[in-house]
Amino acid sequence: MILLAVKNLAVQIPQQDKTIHLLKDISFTLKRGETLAIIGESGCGKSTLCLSILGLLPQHFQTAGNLTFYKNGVEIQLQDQTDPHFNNIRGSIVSMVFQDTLGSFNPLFRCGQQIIDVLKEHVSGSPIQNKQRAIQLIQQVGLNDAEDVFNKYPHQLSGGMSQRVALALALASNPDLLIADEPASSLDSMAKNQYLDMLRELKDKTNLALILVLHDLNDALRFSDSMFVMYNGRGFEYRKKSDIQKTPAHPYTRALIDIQNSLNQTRLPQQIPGEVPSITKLIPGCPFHPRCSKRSDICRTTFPPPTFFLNNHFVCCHHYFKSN
Amino acid sequence: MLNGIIRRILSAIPTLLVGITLCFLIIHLAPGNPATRFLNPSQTAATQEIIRERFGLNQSLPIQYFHWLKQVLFHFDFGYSFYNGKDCTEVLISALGPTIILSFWALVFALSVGISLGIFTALRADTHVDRVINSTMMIFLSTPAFWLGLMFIGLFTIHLNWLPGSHLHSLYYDQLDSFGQLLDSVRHLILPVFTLGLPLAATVFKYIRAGMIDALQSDYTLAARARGIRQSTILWKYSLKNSLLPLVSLLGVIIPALLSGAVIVEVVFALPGVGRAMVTAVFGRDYPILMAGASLAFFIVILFNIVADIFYRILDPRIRNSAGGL
Repeated sequence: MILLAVKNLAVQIPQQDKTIHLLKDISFTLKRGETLAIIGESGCGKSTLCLSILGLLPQHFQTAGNLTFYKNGVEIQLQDQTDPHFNNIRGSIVSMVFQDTLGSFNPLFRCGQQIIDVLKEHVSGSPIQNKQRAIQLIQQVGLNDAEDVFNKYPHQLSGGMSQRVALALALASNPDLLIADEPASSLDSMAKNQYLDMLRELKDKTNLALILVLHDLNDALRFSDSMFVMYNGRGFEYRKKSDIQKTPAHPYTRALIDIQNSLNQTRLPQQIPGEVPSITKLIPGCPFHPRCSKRSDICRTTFPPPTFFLNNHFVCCHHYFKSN
Repeated sequence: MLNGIIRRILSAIPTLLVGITLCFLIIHLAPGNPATRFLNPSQTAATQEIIRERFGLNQSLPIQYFHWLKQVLFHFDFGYSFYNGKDCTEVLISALGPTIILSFWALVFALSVGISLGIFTALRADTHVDRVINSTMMIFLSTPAFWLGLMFIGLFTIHLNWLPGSHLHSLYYDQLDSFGQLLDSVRHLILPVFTLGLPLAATVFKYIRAGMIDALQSDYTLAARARGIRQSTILWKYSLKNSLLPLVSLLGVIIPALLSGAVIVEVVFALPGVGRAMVTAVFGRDYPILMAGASLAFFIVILFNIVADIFYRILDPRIRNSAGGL
């Protein structure tokens, strides 16, 4: 059952002399209980994509395209909602865990109070019920001394605890979709795996859909069902994880997987030659062509149209058919 | 927390003593001699000497200082005015009334105008309304109080004849009924309160506007919106508390500003407050009154700094729990 359909989403910032395109032509669908990993280097527009799903982009950003949620047989067009209605979507349908978890807490309020504020907004209950529910949520994210954490201020939490409390806060409104932006980037690898495992368990229990924004391809390959590879504000490849793992279709995805393999085999890490282009710079044709080993003349002038597979999955490369 | 407060109060005592000592020295270093106040052509040098002896000014400075300090610490006796022989404590207490009334209303005015305009403009940051209010407030912030007071008197008292420009009451105050007396007092207070309060309101406004914009653009506000917290909660509960924090520490600065501002405003509007008593004492080299007033000012400034510290710690858990704090 489809939960979210993103179609031709574009985000841009109009300026006096030019327009900066942050996202171009992003399309994907997400089913209930599915985990989608968004992969890409820094500055490719992953966080912008997350915020646009929540309708939380700054006012001077222009968006185009469609974002549609399907809940209880009702279609909710996000682009049509005026701001007060967005609150019905935010929290109750989609919620988010931010990369800087400590910064996402209000420093002056106790963690428990902040969870209760979310409960008050979305779940009707007496103050005692809300407190019990908040403590349950803290236990649910794997923190044993829930009563103690409830009474703590954000600055008293350790890194790992703050990640988990942030998750409890995001789950308090009982959303259908959880977006996690680099959810465990500040944790060491053991804590990160524990955290992601817990997230997967929670997802399986509640049929929650997940969008994981990840740096680490290994994590994406381990924890996701499908992957969306982004570069310079565009989607290059959107396919099932297993397909990408076996036969990466885009040269960029292939390069990323090669790097990951070299790391796994404890060889010296390879790198993709060239630099990540700035999002403000307009590159004609395929934005990856200056770094691509397969580039040809057409790559310099025309952005490749998507080649579609089943389930709206696609790859955007002029050389896809040639190489297969 | 209680230990911290006691420690803070104890550490304030040396500050108070050093301040008062410096003040004593500076006053006595200033040129001029209290005895010259009583100078007339028939006086001889011997008469001058008698006056100096009577005031204890012929003794060395350390002896004068320790004598004064002993009287203050052990008898709470600030001495008598050189000018009219009145008890300094009584002079100050009677002058304190108008100063407290003036400062209190100026503070109420500054806080209410500053906070409400600060929030109003923060929500409309970078619009025309914001720019107009912001620039107007910056003008008030940079205008000297004495000039503002004179302009108000020029406009509202002399030109328009709307409001009285001096004293606490009218001459016929005693003949009015109680409502008339209240109205008369309020009319007399409006211009001084505006003169003292407007620059302060601008300071408060600046802090609240910046704090509120900061809070509204912060990551925690974005995260709260992502969780579906409604705008009114974000504004009045989350952002306001955060933007009020700098204001609490500002309290320690506002109170001295009020006191020094009151000196000028009381002189401009001929109000019989502590400020005017001090100015008169400075010109008359009335050392006991000056020292009593200065000690009071030091005490109030230090007291409000401690109060601001305590409030800050109550409001901000990050400081409350930090080591080495209060």
